Amino acid sequence: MSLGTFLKSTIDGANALRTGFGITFRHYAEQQLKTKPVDTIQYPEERREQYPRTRWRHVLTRYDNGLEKCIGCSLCAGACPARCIYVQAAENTDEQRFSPGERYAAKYEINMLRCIFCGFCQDACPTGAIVLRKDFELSDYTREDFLYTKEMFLEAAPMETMIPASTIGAMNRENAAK
Amino acid sequence: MSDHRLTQTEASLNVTGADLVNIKVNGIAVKVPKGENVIEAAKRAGVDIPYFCYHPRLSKGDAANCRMCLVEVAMPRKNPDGTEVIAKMPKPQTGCTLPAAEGMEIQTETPAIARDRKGVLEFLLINHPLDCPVCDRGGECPLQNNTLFYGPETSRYIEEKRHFPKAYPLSEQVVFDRERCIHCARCTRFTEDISGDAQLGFLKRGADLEVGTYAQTSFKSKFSGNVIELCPVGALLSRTYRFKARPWDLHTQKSICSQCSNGCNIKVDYRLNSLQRINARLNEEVNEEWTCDRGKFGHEYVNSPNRLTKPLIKKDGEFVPVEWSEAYRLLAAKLKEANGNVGGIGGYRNTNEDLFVFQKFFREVLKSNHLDSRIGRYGDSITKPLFERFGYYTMGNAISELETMKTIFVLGASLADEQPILFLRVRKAWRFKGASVIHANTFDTVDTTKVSDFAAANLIYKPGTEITLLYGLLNLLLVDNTNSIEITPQMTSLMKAAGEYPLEKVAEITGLDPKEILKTAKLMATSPTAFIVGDTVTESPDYLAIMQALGDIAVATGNEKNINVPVREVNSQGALELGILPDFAPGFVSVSDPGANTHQMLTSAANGTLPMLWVLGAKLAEKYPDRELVQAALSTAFVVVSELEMTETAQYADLILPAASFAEKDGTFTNCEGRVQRIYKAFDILGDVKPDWLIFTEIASQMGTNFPYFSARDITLDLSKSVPSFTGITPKSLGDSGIRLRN
Amino acid sequence: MSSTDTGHAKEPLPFPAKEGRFSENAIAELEEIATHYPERKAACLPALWIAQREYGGHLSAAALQEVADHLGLSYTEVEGVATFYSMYNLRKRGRHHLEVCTCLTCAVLGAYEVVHKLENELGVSVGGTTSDGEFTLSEAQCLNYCGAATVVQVGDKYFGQITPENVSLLIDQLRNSTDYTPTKLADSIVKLHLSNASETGGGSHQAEEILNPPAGAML
Repeated sequence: MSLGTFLKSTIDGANALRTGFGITFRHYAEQQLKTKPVDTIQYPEERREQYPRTRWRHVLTRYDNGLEKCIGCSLCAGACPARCIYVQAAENTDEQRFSPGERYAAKYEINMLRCIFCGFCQDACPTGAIVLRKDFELSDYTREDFLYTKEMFLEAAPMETMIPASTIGAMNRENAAK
Repeated sequence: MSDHRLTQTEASLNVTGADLVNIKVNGIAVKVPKGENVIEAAKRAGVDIPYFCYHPRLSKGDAANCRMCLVEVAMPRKNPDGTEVIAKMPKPQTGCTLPAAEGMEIQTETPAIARDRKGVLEFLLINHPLDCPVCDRGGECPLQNNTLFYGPETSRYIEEKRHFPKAYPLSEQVVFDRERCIHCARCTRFTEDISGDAQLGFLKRGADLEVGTYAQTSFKSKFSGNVIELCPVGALLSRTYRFKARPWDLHTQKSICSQCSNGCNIKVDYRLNSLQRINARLNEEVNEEWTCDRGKFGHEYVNSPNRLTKPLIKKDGEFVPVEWSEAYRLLAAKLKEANGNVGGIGGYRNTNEDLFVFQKFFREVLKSNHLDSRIGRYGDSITKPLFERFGYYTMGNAISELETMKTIFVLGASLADEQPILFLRVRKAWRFKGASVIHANTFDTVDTTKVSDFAAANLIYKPGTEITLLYGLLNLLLVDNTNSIEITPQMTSLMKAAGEYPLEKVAEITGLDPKEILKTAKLMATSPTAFIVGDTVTESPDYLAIMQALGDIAVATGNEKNINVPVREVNSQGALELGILPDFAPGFVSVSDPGANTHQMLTSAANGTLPMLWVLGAKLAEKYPDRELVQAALSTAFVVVSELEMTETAQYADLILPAASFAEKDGTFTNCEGRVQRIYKAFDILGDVKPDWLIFTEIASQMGTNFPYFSARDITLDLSKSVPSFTGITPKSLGDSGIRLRN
Repeated sequence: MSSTDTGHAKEPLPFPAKEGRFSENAIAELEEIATHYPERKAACLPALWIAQREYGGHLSAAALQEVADHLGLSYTEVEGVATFYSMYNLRKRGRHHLEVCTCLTCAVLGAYEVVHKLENELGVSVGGTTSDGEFTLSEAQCLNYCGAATVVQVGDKYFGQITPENVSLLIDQLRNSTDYTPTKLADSIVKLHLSNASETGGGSHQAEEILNPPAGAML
């Protein structure tokens, strides 16, 4: 190898390093000086805002007065293309009332491993009870843990959480994906 | 998913004459029987006309109140100048009331008819609440379907709908939602035409019209469950099925009802591992499309928490659950120890396949003929008199043949209780075919559904006087010859026997009105007359003599083949056919060394000479008349019980084998008329149960004999080869309506 | 009686006991009327009038049962007939049943003023019965006697030209009378059925009653 070639390759290498580190430094500077918007965020400390129509984890909503909207009609199970919803209904009594009318869901289970988050259940629901919200952190360790039950889906009752009834009432179908 | 239509009937039932007329339905030319209504006639052309209130099995006089089946009709008419034109009727006609006539042209899909249908549905929906999501009918609802296909997109009625309290309990089984009723009158016509209790009717009028029972009393009927299936909306609903599942949650399997020997064809609707409901399945030969309430609602035991799910061995008076292998080890040891001294009792609730392997195991492996399926008081004798004299065992007639009878003599039976489907046929023969029915019994039930309601003659005789009554009738028939029967030489001996029973004497002994007896004798001379014999007679100590007398009457009137002594339990008939008898092998082949019958087995078990008993689903402790004997026998011998639940009999067992119910296994049942019908496995319950044939096969192989059976189908095929009467009966040939054994 | 209650009971009721209050005379009348028709079922309406008479002016559950038993009909069918026609009393009425015609002519000539006046006088609203069991007040559809509007039917008699002014007179007269009870009405209808045999309607008899309203009422 002649000296000329050696020098050329050294300079080339240095140039490549400069170009590469230049990008790094430029981005570093941009980030520090906040001159340009940043795509990467520091998950989980930071969370990106979800799009309005994002469909993730299901929630069973309630009416203002705390009654469940779900009437156990099983239409979601009928609409589900993955056949992952199981609903078992029972009859409300005057002593123990879960939902308005005659019928409520005694069991409501979704196999979240099978769910494809298509939102057909939300479309099929005649009372707007089941909605797909933005909670996407659904990982877990065992298969059994992916069998979500009614208690897990159900919105907290207003009395328990001290949320003013009016805010829950606002969570109807239109602005559920707020 | 459940396939639920307004009627399961495919073919027309109301063909009035053989002469055919040419009609056109939507331009399709078809030949249909003259007088057939347009709905049925259109079906022949492949055109469906929507309707709610029409049902081919109900009388049609008061139908046409839903107005859904409107069609446009044109008829040929001669002009004054002699030319023929097809003239359209100015207004649409109801298809269900319009008889087909020569040259009729029917249009079902014109814009005008489409508009009419929209109007009709808009009207029906004025007061019908749209609570389909919580309605048990939603998803299989004719109103939903027709609205979807023919209805308006929306309604112009913005007024408040009428409101009533929801879920009014009409009876133990049926709940009624008055808001949903569209007043089709199907249920009211059913109770009037078919079940005959006439308990449902229309009350009030106009907008207040509602279906109800008299003075809010309970809707007590043995057939109330059928109105749930008939209802074209969700107004009449099952209480047991209420909110259990939606139609799309369910899977359906064909089966046969196991509550009695009539062998109703049913559909088992199940979800996961549990039976949700039972609906009727069409079989023109047996149950048409009805079920009785016992069959429709009596299925809790299948998924009862009391179901046995593991073999149990009694150790120190306590039942200990064990694995099958351990149960088999104990069983094999005990069977070897008994060395053929084993008695087998029961089997009347098992499939033909179970029974065939049961008797094969006993006769071939254990070399024992101690087998009996009859546990009634005089059970042993039931089959004898008919067979010895006329060559058939239980029912001379097929169930559907009862319709063709001129007279039906019901002797000693609470028919609606004992044989619900026979009752419906008898009632149908009376109401739609003009048969006369004679009811003779020691008592009359107070039920709402009973033969005496429509019987032409009602004979409530003193207990124990059946023979007198029958010979008195024979006396009237032959000696007095009230009906001019031709006296053949062989009747002279009958006349001699009957001569000792003059009318006055008979009337005095039986406590009956002579006029009623005379009337009965008049009715009985008409041929064909069918005789149906029930429990009062079969449990009478005079059973043989009564059957002799009845046989004499049958001979005198030429009805030898029309005596029916139907058995009671689901496969009692099959148990007879397949030789669960001490003296007959399958197909009524006599065995050389007859074994002991139930009574003898229990006696020798009680005194220790029969060390082992295998009770196959028989409720000995509950049903056997001699209770002390059963207790002594079951506590002395080593008792193996194959059962579904922990019954009283099972409490005495030393080893309990959990068996599969009808919903959990394949096989065939033989009903009271000898019809072999298939059942299909629907689901597995959560438990370690086995079908009985498998238990016998496995224990046989444990004892060194291998039966070549790996499925119930193998056994059915073997049956068709090795039992003469089952020749030609294969799973394939049975089809949906079954095959009746030779008779 | 379910038909007049606002809703069904929570659970089905037990079967009502039979009372068997048809007198021999009533049964004879029923059999006589039944011969007028091709089938016994057709005698249901007159039989209900007989029952209304025999059971003291209204049809109780036991009364319907007795009619059904005599005619061989189902209980539900008879209840259906009785609840279909509004002129059968399904609840106990007062000793006098005042039916004020509020159809067109009477309404134009002040029937509702009469009704309000009666409500005030008797202290009940339309459909109610006074606490002493004397009067039941209801509205009626056209009584076919428009010439004497406003007309009030009491029992089998018509009282014509009733005004708010003479209402109290009518009430006073009725208080002292036993001639115009619901039983009486039922009885005269039964008599019409008996006398008419198979011929048409009872129009002529009714007209006679109308043309002779009781003195004192036509003021």
